[in-house]
Amino acid sequence: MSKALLGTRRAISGGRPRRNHVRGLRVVAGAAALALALGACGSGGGSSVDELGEGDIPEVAENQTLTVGVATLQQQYADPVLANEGGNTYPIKWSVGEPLLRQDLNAKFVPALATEWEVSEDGRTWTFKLREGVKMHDGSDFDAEDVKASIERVSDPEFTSYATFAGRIDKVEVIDPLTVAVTSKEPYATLPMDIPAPIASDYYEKVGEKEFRKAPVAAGPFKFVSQKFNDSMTLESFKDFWDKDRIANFKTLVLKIIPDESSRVAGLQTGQIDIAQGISPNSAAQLENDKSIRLIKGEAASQGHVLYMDNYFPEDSPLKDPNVRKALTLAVDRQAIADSLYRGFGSVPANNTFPVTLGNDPSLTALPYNPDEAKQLLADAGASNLKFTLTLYNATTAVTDVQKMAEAVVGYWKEIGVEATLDVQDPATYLDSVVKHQLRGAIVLGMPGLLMADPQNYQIFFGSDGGYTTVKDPKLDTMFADMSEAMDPADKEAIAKEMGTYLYDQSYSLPVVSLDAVYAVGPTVADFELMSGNPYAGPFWSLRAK
Amino acid sequence: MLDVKNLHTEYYQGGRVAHAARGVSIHVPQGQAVALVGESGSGKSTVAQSVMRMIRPPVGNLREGIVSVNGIDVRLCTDRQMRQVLRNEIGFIPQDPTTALDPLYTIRSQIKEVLPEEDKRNADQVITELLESLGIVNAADRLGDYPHEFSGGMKQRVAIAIALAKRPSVLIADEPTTALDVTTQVGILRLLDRLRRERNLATLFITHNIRVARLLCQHVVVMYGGIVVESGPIEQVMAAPSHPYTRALLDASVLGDRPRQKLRAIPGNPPSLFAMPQGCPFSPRCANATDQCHEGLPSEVATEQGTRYTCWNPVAS
Amino acid sequence: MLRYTGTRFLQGLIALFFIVTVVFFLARMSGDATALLAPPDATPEQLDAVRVELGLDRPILVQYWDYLQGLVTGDLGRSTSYRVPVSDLVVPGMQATAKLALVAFLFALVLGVAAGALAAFRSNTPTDYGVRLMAVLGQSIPSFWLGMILVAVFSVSLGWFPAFGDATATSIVLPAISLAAFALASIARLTRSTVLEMLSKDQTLFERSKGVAPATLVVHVLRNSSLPVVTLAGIQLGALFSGTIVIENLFAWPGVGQLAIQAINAKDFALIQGIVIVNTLVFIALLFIVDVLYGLLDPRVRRPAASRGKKKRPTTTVQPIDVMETV
Repeated sequence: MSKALLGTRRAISGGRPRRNHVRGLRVVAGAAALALALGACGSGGGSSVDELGEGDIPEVAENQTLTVGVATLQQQYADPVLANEGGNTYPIKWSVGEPLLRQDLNAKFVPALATEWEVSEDGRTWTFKLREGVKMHDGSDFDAEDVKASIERVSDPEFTSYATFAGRIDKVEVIDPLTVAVTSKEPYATLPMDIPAPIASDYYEKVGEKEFRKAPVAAGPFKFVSQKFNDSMTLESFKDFWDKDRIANFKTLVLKIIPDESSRVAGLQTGQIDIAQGISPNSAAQLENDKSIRLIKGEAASQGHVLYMDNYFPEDSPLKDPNVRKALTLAVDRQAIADSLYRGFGSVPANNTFPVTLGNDPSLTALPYNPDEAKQLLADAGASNLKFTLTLYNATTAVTDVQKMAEAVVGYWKEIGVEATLDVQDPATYLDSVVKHQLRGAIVLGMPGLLMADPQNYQIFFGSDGGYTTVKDPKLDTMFADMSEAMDPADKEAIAKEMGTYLYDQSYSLPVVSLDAVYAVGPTVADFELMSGNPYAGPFWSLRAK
Repeated sequence: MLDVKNLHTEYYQGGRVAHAARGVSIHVPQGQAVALVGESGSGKSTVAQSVMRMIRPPVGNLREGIVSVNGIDVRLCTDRQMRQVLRNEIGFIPQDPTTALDPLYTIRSQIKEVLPEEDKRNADQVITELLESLGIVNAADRLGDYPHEFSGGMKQRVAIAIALAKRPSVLIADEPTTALDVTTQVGILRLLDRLRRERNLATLFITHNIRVARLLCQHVVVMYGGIVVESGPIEQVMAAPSHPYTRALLDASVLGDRPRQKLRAIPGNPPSLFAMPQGCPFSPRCANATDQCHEGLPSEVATEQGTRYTCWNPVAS
Repeated sequence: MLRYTGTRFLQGLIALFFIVTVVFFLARMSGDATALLAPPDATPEQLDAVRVELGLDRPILVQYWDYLQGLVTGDLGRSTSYRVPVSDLVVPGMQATAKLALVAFLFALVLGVAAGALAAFRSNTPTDYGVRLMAVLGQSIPSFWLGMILVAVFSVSLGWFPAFGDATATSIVLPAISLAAFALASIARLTRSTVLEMLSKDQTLFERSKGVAPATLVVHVLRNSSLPVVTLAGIQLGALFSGTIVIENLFAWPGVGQLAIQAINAKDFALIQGIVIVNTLVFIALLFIVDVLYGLLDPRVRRPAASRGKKKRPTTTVQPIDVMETV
């Protein structure tokens, strides 16, 4: 069944999953839209495993433990539903939890615990057919109650990352043990992807919320075993996991928090860990001589953008002039930044969206470095003495060395006579003031490819009501509204393409660099494939021990 | 018996040599007290420390001479032998008991440290008797007390007890009363005099005040600039000083002088140990000085009264 | 002594209250965790809901009052980012930090005193020069750099110790040494200068004149040198507790320093406050211990001469001496 549906692990990267039992036109449309919308994988995406041999992966590496050195696990939730806050909470979400629809290694949504689904004519009620014979970690059988329990659980406002989702859900009905219907208040095109991973409902009822968080029971490829705060999480391969291709061939997976990169590298060299996340060019160079250690790159995992806040406000500002913004783009030698700062791990983004973004137009190529033209554009716009503040925060997991990157940008601007002052803040202060629209001038944001694969999410930065918005532009607002209503994937893609072109023409953001996610793996690792556009640690179900 | 002959002691500091004692000779027979008198920097404390061999390389050295304590030349002792000499032969009374006693130890343990083995078995009793003999009443109750719980005079009695607990033959008292008030001073001096007599101690009494010395010493040795300028029976020296410095000392001192107070009647300062005048060290300050005085030292002259001095132009008596 | 301790304790409480208040208001001056915790596409209403959930919608003085009330009952509040009681995080964190700091401290103290004393007793010899050179190096090398060097040599090249973590008994060696270096050097320097000074004092001269064994002399000198060293050691131990941030980060040590970084980045007010409070308590405890040690080491503190009357000891007098000679 699983093979028929999804093919082997390696087949995923190449082909599209074949779907059986398709019911109704809307279903085809909807499901295909999802697959397309979130999985349109450009040539730049995908993962590459250097020198990893094929065929030397043992069937089982009994009792073996693989330890991953991660920079952070953020809030270290053991609970896969709580672990939805982005960043490095995802390793747990992807390991312990198994959702109705999951992302494959191309960030494409494919059926997981739901085998098929359909949406009502009014676009409000989604009915899911659930996979049969799935076991939860406590041995219980997965059923519709587990879906319902999880959805109802996140209506508690403490699940802040589900605040939007919970606010849009009207009700959940169990139709039969393997059928569940979820109704939203308004039409909700991305509802299937937003549903939290099911939890073992009987267990949850028995132990209660508090205990569940400490010892969660779900249906993911790894079982939660134990955790030591600020130290590590220990997971165990779930041998009864429904998808045999994603069952690890080793027993224990330890996620060890090692904030300092040099220590992760040292740990890999001493064999204390088997995989190190977040390797910088410096460490990569240091590891070059170590034959037992290999580097794995996930390309275009994140982008560092400069966005212009003044576009949000009614007051006049030179930054509202598209030509000025274009000049600011032309002035920066992005290739030099990629080469010198991110040596081999970064490149110049072609345009304002990701290769994995639905509707990304590869014909839109990066504006060349041209300080003379930039100066001319500024002079023509009467903005030769441009001055503003560039605000950023010092610790984004999405962009390494973000401060150095911003310093380089400011340096290039200075050469064309633009005085930009850097203001470096801590993450919470920064995000707080961005959300409250307290900043002017320009800001730096790291965008994870995983999030931006859905063009709808550009609304967060460029829609009038987006959380981190920098622009008030009725034209963009119309595009976002149309996109959210588009049930036909082709429609959504067309609008997304239009949006991409518009962002590019208007230079609404300056995409400075596109970064790869880099891991170093030791001799105990046989195989590890990365998810396209994913700057965060994991998922680890593609990891195989030697 | 303490016999110092032609002692030369040097200090080394930053590559320079200070000649603190230059051919000093002192003889202290058993049961006698000899006063070693001089200003600060005269070399009198150097002599005391040389006797106890506290001056060791790299700080300094006893370069030449004989320092004999009951026939043992301390210059030739090994460290272990020297500790035996200090333990068995020499009792030392410090200038200021407040800085000399260890504030962190009870007086019992400080005295007990020096008791001979045979006294250690009934240490408390020995110590109590000793302290009471030194004028501390209720001594038994106070063995567990710390030095800061005693008055200055009491502390000095404790220090004396430490010196005597060893049952030494030689007692060296380095200005033992300068840190005390006048009434207490006299009490301590009387005590030392009594102990010398009772225990037949060879006492070397170091002081800057020749009149204080007279209270308990039979002989006096006056030092200046590292040399002995005059010596002899104390009554004779005081009655008829030959050296102008001795004269000046007598003029300048009264009983109860404050410690480290400059001699009012003597103009100028003592010479630096690093830059001794070629001739008589006192010549720069001496009213009687002639050219001869600046060029060289005369040899020691003996008088009919039994005193000896080193001076070209002695005071007419 | 007791009153002195009591005063110190009261001062500590006042300092604690003051610090809690300052941290409480300072932390809230630059934004809160709402934007961090809400999904990026949250609407303003949803952001408000998150704010209500975090309890940040109430007037700040009300929040402050509630917090103080909780504190009095020992409730440090709830971490908004980790979503567990603050004490669940801070207590194990402080245990890990304390373990690291104390091991580093013992190492620094024992070795620092030994090296310093050795250098003083052998002053101006090659031993002394060696100790002084090491002390200058120890004070000038940044701890994280030392840590990286130690890892490169003893973990990566020699494989003697783990590069990070606290999984095995030997895990603590490298972080403890890195952390201890500065304190060790400071203690060694102070011990050296204190012992040197002590060696030239009347007290030591007098002790020497007793002809006691060298070991006895060393004990006297060291005990007397211990008072300034204890003061410095107390300060250094406090510094070790705060210095762990860098080392914990480097060695992935699950202590309160790492927690602090996370708490600040996550604008987790309750957690920040909890860490500050626990840290302050540790400092107060350290001051208290130093005071007690002082009392134990120095009878002048333990039994000040003025309070002698308490035990009602008969006043000792000098026996009358026969009429003294006048001069």
